[in-house]
Amino acid sequence: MMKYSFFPGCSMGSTAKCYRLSLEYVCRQIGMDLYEIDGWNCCGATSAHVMNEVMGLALPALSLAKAEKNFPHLDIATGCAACYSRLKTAAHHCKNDAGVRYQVEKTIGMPYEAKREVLNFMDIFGTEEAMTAMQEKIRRPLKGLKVACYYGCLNVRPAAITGAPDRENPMTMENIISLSGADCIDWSFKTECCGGAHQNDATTETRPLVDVIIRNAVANGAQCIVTACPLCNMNLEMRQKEYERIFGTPRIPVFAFTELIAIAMGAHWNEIALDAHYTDASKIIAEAIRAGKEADVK
Amino acid sequence: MSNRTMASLMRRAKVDPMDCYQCGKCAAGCPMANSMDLNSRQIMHCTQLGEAAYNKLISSEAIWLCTGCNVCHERCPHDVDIPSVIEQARYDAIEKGKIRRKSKIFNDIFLTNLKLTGKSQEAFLALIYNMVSLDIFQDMNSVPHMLRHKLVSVLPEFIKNPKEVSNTMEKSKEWGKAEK
Repeated sequence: MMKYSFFPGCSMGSTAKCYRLSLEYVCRQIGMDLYEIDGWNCCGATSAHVMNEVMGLALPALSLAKAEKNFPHLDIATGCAACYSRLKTAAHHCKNDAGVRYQVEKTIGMPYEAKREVLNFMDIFGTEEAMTAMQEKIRRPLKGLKVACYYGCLNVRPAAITGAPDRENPMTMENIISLSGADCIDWSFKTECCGGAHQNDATTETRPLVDVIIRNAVANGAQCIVTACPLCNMNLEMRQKEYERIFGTPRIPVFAFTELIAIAMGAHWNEIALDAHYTDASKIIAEAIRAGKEADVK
Repeated sequence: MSNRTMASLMRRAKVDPMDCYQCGKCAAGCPMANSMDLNSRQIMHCTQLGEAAYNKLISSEAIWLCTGCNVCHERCPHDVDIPSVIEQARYDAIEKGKIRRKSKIFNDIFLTNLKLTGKSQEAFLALIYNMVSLDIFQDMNSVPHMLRHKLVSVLPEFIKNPKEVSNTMEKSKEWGKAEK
């Protein structure tokens, strides 16, 4: 049974358009149902928990309580690392600390028992059932495409909350991307921080973080980077012209990991808005598809 | 709050300062250490010095530059929750009006958007932030691309019931006051 409550998060409706379209495409293909939480609200990342401890737990709990009310038997899925971290932190504390739960329930004016798990889409697509279903739908493998899988911080850390089995060298995204036929490179910066929201309010301090991430991916032979978070994706992708000018950083396409799966499943270019990316990826994708077809003929 | 002291900060953070033996593995992995006036190891040293170093800690820029990536805590051989210390230090700094200028601008705009609409308004956040912080042209060269591909909306978007969010935010603030 592949059914989940779905917390889209704010970026999924705007800057993460490609992520959302490809995510929905993959779900349609494999028969996975996402039920959007009715009346969900922003989880407050990054400002709420920085400014007020209770607010940082109550805002995500408000959406979680609604999910619990509407779909009491479903786990909660979210595609953003920051949302995932906030929702999971709130659920964790409400589950394990009666005092926190009392405080949160009083604040949101709703009961919240934290019975269901909060999951990110690597957890969800990484299950055997989903992997088998995706494998069956791959129509045009992306042969020879060299991919750097970037996890960022909050999908993995803190492990006490996320339960990530490997906090330094996670492999879930590589396992999923391998289904598309692409080759995942081994590299050193997959769980380094992109700077998050500090790319707005501490620019001189955080810009170099992305420079080293991109350089390390390119140095290890990557042709593109894939992410599992709208903010990581934007931070790695949007300012590449600026990075090129300031640091001489090489330019490289950055995708949501679901986009590569969707392409390999046969998604049309416009169907998942591939032209909305800042760096043109049409050449490397077309090449990988061609290589895939040739290998198929042989 | 009257008891804004290092001892109370560490109690709230649920960290024993003496758990840290100053090996520096946290700072070695910290992505922001280069830019910080106090790196994570030095922050833990402040907590060990106690009240004498309290002001130094909560007035530092470092607590506002921390991205919350949690590398320090994950790699700490003694499982010291440094992000928790930094989080509590920020709450104390806010209480004492010592918040870093740009962080205050960013967070205030973010939370005002959230209060009014129930959502984060990425375009408005960036635009208003640039005007208030006087970094007028920051990221502005991405705007044509975003508008062309409809990656941002020119009008704010609202959730179903923004009032629930503003109520939750108001009530959250009352807990802090009750503690005093």
